[in-house]
Amino acid sequence: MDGNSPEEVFTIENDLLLEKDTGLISKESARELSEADLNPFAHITESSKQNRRVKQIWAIGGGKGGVGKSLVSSSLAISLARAGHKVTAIDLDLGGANLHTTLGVDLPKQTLSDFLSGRVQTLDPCVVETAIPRLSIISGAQDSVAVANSGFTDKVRMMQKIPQLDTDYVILDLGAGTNLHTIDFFLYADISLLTLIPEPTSIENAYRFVKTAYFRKLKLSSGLNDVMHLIDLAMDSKNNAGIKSPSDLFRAVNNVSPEAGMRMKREIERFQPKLVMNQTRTQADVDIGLNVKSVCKRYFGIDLDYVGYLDYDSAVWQAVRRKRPLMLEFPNSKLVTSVDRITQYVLKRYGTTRNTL
Amino acid sequence: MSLPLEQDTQTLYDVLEVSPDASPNEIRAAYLRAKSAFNKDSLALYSLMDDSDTEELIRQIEDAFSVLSSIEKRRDYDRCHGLLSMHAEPGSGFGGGRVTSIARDLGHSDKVISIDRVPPMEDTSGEPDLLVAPRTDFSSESGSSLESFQRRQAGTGLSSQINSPMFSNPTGPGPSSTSGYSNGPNKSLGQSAQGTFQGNSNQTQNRPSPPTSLLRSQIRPAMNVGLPTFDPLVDDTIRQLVEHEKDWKGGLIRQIRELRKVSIEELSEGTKISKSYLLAIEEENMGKLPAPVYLRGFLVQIARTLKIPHEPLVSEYITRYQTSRAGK
Repeated sequence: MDGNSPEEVFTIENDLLLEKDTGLISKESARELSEADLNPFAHITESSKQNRRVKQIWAIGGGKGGVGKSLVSSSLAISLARAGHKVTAIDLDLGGANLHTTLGVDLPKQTLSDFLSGRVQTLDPCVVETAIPRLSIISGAQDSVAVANSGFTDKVRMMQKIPQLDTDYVILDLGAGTNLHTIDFFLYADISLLTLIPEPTSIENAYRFVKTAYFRKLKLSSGLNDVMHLIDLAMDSKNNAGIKSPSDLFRAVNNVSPEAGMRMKREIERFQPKLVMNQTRTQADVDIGLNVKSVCKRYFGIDLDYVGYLDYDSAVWQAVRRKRPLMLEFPNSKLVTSVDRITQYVLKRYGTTRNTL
Repeated sequence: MSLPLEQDTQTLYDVLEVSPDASPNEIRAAYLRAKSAFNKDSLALYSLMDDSDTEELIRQIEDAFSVLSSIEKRRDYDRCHGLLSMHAEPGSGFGGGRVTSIARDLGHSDKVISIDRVPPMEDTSGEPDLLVAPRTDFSSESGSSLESFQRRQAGTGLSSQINSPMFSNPTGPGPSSTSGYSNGPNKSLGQSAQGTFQGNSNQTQNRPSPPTSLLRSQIRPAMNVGLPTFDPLVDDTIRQLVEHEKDWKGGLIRQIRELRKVSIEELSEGTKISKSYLLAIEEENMGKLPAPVYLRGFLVQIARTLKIPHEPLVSEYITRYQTSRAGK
């Protein structure tokens, strides 16, 4: 995984600079660019887009650890597989990989680290079949410290290779937190799902996640170069330009030009995350999802589609304890129906959605 | 979709997150939903907005509702904003308008299939035939059906939204919340108890008195009836009265109504009971009252509106009614 040699990074940075038309700058200055300035999507080549075999990529994130992302990911994957689709679930919680356990795959022989280390060049050798028909997994297990700290080039390589997997649906189980890779994969997917539990800690983290994704999306959009300085300002919550909320940013951008404001608005409209409420116990818990949806709309201008909720069920911890997939271990749990409902709804409503990066 | 960013171009419908052709029930439900989302105790605000941010929003929500809940004001607003009045209420008075919106809520076409109709009294000069109002459960503060719940969550788009099936199947998963609701009449309208905001009603019990912007003069909507004055002193007096009451006569109803500063007109508007009946009830004019099955409904409705327990009022009153009829 030493793919981050200065020359490689520099090459990409060079391309990027040329693309952004800011003119060539010296090698020394280029090295000072932080990873946050690099746009991974700009490097997904046309050829990799043309060789796409995967129908849709779903990503499950949420900011807080322990809310059930792996559970939701594995359950959705199983649901899709049982509906007849070919599914590959990828554990992107590097350093915290649990997906294999929730799918009942004890010790996978090949994992993502084979790809990240450069031992293999494509993702196909990393795929491991599960006991569930049509469902396979790329596990993050057996990872080394290096894997947990992969860099920009690894991310780009993954983004290029994922659509070429021999499968219909790819489910990305993202890690907790709001680090750059997590956010970028969330923005990369065709369908991005936020998992929340009805607790203030989860809600706070979710908002932090959405905020980060929101600004990152704006930062990566090519049409907003003229107001990028404002976006950078807004990302610093203690900025002294008085930009506190997205509305403030919009107002500032609009002042530069209404045209830029329009472009910003269009960019945000393309960010359409979905919401899954997990571990609900009461109707009030379910309603929190609706409230979060309203607040998101009001604060960010984002349309969060509340696609469903999953009740708290003690079957979950029991299944995990047994290291067996919930959907198979407790087929009579109401959760199975709920998960299937969510899957069907997303397929029905967003079956043909593709992210245009 | 309207961004919050465009404060000046958002409509009242955007504020409540409903489509311009929403029914009064949907508007009310959306209003309660919006209030709950931006209530300062709302978990959904945590870490994102503080009181100063939400103050303005709550004000907008209240204003929006005060306009959109009144048929006349809403019509005027729609006209001014070039919105087609897709919810145009034909005919005059409450009767016609109400029927149309009930029909739409039930998902029927504009033909109402069955109406509970109270037989008119002998001398109803100039009085329109009144329909018995569908049950609005005032104790819960939200009479929204599962349907409007899912319609609402599906966004403000118009007809072709696919609703999340999670919310559309009352027998599907979800907390089996059956406790706490005397929802018999609701069920007859095809609503399911599961969709109701049990959580919300629990919250309202613990909340302090409603914001003072809820001026009675602003509350004219069909659902939020001549709202009794929220005066703790009055509440206390009434509580005392109720505690010590033995007879439960019409006079008590009148007393409480007056304490709450609700006029007969307002009570009639809110409960859909004709003024003549209301007066007859208060004056114990048994000859002018309808059959017990209707009378019972009226009494419950009145009690609910005036925020007093309907038992033992209803049983006492009905007993007295029947005795007097038997005596004839």
